[in-house]
Amino acid sequence: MKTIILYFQLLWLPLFLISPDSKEPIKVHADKLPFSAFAKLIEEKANLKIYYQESWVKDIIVTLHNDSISPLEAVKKALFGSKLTVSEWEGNLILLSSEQLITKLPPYQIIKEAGLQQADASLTKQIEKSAYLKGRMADLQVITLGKQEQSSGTRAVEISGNIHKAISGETIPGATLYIEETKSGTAADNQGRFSLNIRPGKYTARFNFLGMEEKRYHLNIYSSGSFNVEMNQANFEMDEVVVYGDKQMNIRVKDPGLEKIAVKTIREIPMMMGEQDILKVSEMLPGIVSVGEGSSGVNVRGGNADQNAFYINNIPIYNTSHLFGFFPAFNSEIINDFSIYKGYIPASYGGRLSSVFDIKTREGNKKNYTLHGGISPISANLILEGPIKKETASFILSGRRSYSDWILAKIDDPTINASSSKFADYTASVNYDTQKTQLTLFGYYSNDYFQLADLNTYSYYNKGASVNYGHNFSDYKRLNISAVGSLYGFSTLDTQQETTSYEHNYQIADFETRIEFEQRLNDKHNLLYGATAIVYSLDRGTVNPYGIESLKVKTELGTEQSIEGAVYITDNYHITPRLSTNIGFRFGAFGAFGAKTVYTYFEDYPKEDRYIQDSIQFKKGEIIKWYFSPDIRAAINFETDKNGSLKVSYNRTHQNIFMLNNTIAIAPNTQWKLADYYLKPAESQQISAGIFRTIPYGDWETSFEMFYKKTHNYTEFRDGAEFIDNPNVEQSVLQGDQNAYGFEFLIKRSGHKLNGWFAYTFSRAFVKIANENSWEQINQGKLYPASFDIPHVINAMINYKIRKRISVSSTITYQSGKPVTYPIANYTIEELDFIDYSSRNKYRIPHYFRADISMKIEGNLRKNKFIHSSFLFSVYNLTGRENPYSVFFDQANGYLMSYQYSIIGVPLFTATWLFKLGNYASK
Amino acid sequence: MLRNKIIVFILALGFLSACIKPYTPKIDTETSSKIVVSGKLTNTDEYWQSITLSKSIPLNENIFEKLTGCEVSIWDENGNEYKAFESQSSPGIYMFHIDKENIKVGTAYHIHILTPDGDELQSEPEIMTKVGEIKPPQYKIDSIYNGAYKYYTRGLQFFLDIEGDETSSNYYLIELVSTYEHHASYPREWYYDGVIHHIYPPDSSLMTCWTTARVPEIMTLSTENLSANKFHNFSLHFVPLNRDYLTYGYSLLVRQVGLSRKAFIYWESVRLNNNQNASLYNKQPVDTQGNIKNLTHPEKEVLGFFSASAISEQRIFIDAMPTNPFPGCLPEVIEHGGLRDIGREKYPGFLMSDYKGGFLLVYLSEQCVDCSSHSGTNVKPNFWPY
Repeated sequence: MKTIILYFQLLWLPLFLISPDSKEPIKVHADKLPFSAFAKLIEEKANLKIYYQESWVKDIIVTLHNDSISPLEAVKKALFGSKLTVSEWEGNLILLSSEQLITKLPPYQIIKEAGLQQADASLTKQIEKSAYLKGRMADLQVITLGKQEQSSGTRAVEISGNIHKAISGETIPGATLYIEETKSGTAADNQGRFSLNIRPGKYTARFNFLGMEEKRYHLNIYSSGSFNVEMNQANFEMDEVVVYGDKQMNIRVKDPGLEKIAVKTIREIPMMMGEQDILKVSEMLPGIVSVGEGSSGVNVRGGNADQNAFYINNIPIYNTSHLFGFFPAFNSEIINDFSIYKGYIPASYGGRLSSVFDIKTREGNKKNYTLHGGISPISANLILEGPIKKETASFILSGRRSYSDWILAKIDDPTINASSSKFADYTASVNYDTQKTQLTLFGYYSNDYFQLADLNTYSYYNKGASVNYGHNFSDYKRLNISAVGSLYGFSTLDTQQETTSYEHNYQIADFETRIEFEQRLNDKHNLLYGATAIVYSLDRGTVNPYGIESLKVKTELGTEQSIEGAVYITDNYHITPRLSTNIGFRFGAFGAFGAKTVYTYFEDYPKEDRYIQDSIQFKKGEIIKWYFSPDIRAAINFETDKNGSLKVSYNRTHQNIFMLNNTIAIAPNTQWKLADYYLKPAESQQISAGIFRTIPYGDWETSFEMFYKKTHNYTEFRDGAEFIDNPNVEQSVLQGDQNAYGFEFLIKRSGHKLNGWFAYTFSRAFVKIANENSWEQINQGKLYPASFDIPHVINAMINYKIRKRISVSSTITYQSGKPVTYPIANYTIEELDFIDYSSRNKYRIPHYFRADISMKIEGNLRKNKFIHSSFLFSVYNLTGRENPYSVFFDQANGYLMSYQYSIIGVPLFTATWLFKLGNYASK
Repeated sequence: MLRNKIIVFILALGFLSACIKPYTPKIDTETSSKIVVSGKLTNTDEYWQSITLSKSIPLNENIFEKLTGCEVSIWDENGNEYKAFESQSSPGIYMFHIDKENIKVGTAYHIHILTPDGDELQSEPEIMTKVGEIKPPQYKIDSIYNGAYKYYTRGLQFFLDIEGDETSSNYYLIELVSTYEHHASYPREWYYDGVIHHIYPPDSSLMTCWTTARVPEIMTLSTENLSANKFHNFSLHFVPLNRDYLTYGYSLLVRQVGLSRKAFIYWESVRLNNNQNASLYNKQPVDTQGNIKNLTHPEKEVLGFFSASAISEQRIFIDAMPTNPFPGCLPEVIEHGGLRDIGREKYPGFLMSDYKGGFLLVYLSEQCVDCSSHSGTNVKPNFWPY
């Protein structure tokens, strides 16, 4: 009987699809019911019949709780994710296999025909009409590309398109397309464009992105074509704390060692003083370790803090934090995409050994003007955005300023309450986007000012601007051109001692131009190739005596100019559907050029002023020294089964710029220094391998990665080196070897009320500075643990969604203690007691543990309101543990007392108010 | 000091209080002790100069392990040997004498040591450097703020203007030796050691003492990067008024020592290592290699630095000034058991006089009747003006 009705229905389906649902709502509570039982329940409650074939539904298990839902909606929800659709017929419900049905009924194609391929089609393909799919008009829409008669048979064709946010029209870089039938997929590029080679046929396509609702379509593909996809914000989906990457993409597409962080994640993680800090979130991922509380640096896979590159829209950022590292120099509200490359580093990136932190800001709203902001005890921020030309061009302005002086004034210390501290950052961005051409202008400015009574003044700034132009010649070829300029500088005024008072300004500027092509050769090969040139101009500044009493000698620390050029090519090669590779080659050249005076030293003598033998004068523009760096970057991705993959990568990287820093943390007046006549670029090779698996039951994802890294020409500094008095850095620098190895384990769960992740990292880092002469050795040439050698790190994050608008998050961090050199014996010389130390970094300070908790409450969800508020309450260091930052020794009454120094040893409570004009969904 | 301030600031910023607490790391008592050579050759007017040999000891063990039975000699660049003799009264101290005319600026000297184990130790040659004439030390009343306890301490801050010329050393070591007078509160008159004793007339010989000690701070200065070989208001030490250092007079000997660059680097590095503070920007301890090598066992490190330095010194005297020291003597009233409350370990237990020929049942600790129990001796130094 059922079968007969079903066939009958096939013919009349269109009517039923659009027929209104007139049924009264019912109450449904089902917990893991087989569909047949669920259907019975609905039949009884609603007094209707549900027609279906047992074989279609035998795998469907239903969990549904709703006090008021129409029977049609209830069944729809139960079938969500299956290939079945439900329709109403004379008050009863009929289940249908959607694929069969719709292909046979062309009049009900919602989409206009798109993207016809011409008979004489060259590689260039016409996009005649592109269909815009709006919202969620039906559960599954059908997109037909080309016409049946144009079908190319079995030869693969290319489908492509743009992915936008429905609400603002912004593109969604990194959104993923997954074809269920072929189990293959792709991810959108930086312009939100995707393309995929596929044989003609009928497919189910799924579009996904962090924080967006999944979009599913039926694709009827006859020939090449393109279409646009609009995605909606996932307001209250359970998977709000999807951490990074997409599950399927982690398995199939993601490069080894690539991490992505969703902005949504940042908002819910408890943060000190309520400042959302994307960099601190990154420190919760495996392989990335904070240099310490109150410090901006990170150590990635056993690398030094200066081995990481930070970019915001291609602008390099030399100091990523405000106020000694307590706050981020980026406003996380404007961040769209945050990628961290710590394993496979694509050939388009150069210049740093360990990692690349790439931040892309979002485009302004292309449909409406919006304003939103936030207020915390330290700072306030405001974002204004809107269209310049609807759907095509938009702008976004953001600003943030601190007002922390009032806190200082309240502190009962004459030095502190006479001090002052300010920071601010601003961005402006204009975005123009047509199908063929994209243009983005972006400007960034951040500054810090810190005055410690009348003793010291520090200030620093990062300024930058970038122009990015993109043009699609065809769906097979795209051009990107960018020009970037950045300027970082600081000033120090030291007035502690009249006799030695000085002022000093430092500045580094760099200008980069880049031309890059993305080219699809065929369905197996995608090429990315380009060339880049960077000019560095570094002014280490002049140390000027300050005040008439100062006897400080005016010292010119010198200027440096360098050029760095590179050509690169990467082939993304899909060897088989299961095996793909990224093979890249980058050839870089680095040249330091004059004008410059270089001193030479007597051979076999320490590099000191008194052993200077001669000097070499280099004229303006004359090359002092060239360094060449042929680098290979390779990643292999092998899909072992539908839930797992194996990834291997090999990387060779070079670094031409270093931080002159011999302390644990990075001081606000740390100078950067370019490779020069003596200082060679550092070179590093990393090999890593990882296993990635998803466990569909319970939505678990796991990964295990191992790495080994070897670095040559690693820079260390002579004991007690000072960089403010010495123009000749070669006198303080030693170069040697550094090794690091370890493994990273991650398990995470998403898509549930209770979700989060657990990450464990084991990594070791050792340094050996063993040059021939004893004065060019550290630790007598023996291997010693690097000061950032932290073997065990555990990070866990739990998020629980209590109600729609209330969620609670908690994070836990554990780290082994940092290596330290301890005193081991006393001795006496001329009545004074002295301390004898152990070999370098032989001991460790106690471990670090911290638990934080936060609660986020969203304002009501009414649609029509002027302002939407949310509140974030957080407790930092919940247990109040006094985590040691360092251990130090002090002599008292002839005894050597040891102390530990903690920065934050109490629980710290903060309330933050975030607001925006409009309702919850407003951007 | 600046570093500490930055940290205090950061702590303050987070509405926090500083968080420094004692912590005892586990340290292996791994290394066998090292030989320590202490002393230098100077152009002092003293007849005898000395070198002290000792061994390094595990942390916080309150012993001083002398190295006795060595053969020590000083050599000059002309091959003259000046033998040192181990002091009979204090073993481990080796005394030597070099005639004034043989101690010359510009001449190189080195030390040679033969230990009882047969190890031969020798320093690199050190050229005696000239030092600028010392200027009179200055002082002013000042306050320093104690961040941990939130109060100001008043006291005397000493300064020195340092000046040399083009021919004298750019590297200075400043040594400070302070002497102060201090008093016990009561003369010795009545005491109990099972029976009562009466000393008459009361013995006040242990009521006035003088303590001389090296100020335990290493002070180094380099004028290498300054346009002239001089420094204005170099901060010496701070003497607080809430102790009894200044109550009865205070004498300070300031010794300006000229160093070679190498010696300066050595003293500067041990100074840095001795002043490790809590800081965000802590540095690694500096490698403090001296200039003395063990020729027999080169792998065995020798601690210390043998230098040949010209010195110039000045002494100043600060008259008694009003201070508010914490009392060192607290008489205890004996309440219940009478004299038998004075335990055997306290014998002789001194008692307060009633100034009428009797005594009161008030016990006076040793501190109350013997200034030398605190520190110093009751022998007045010859430079004391009163």
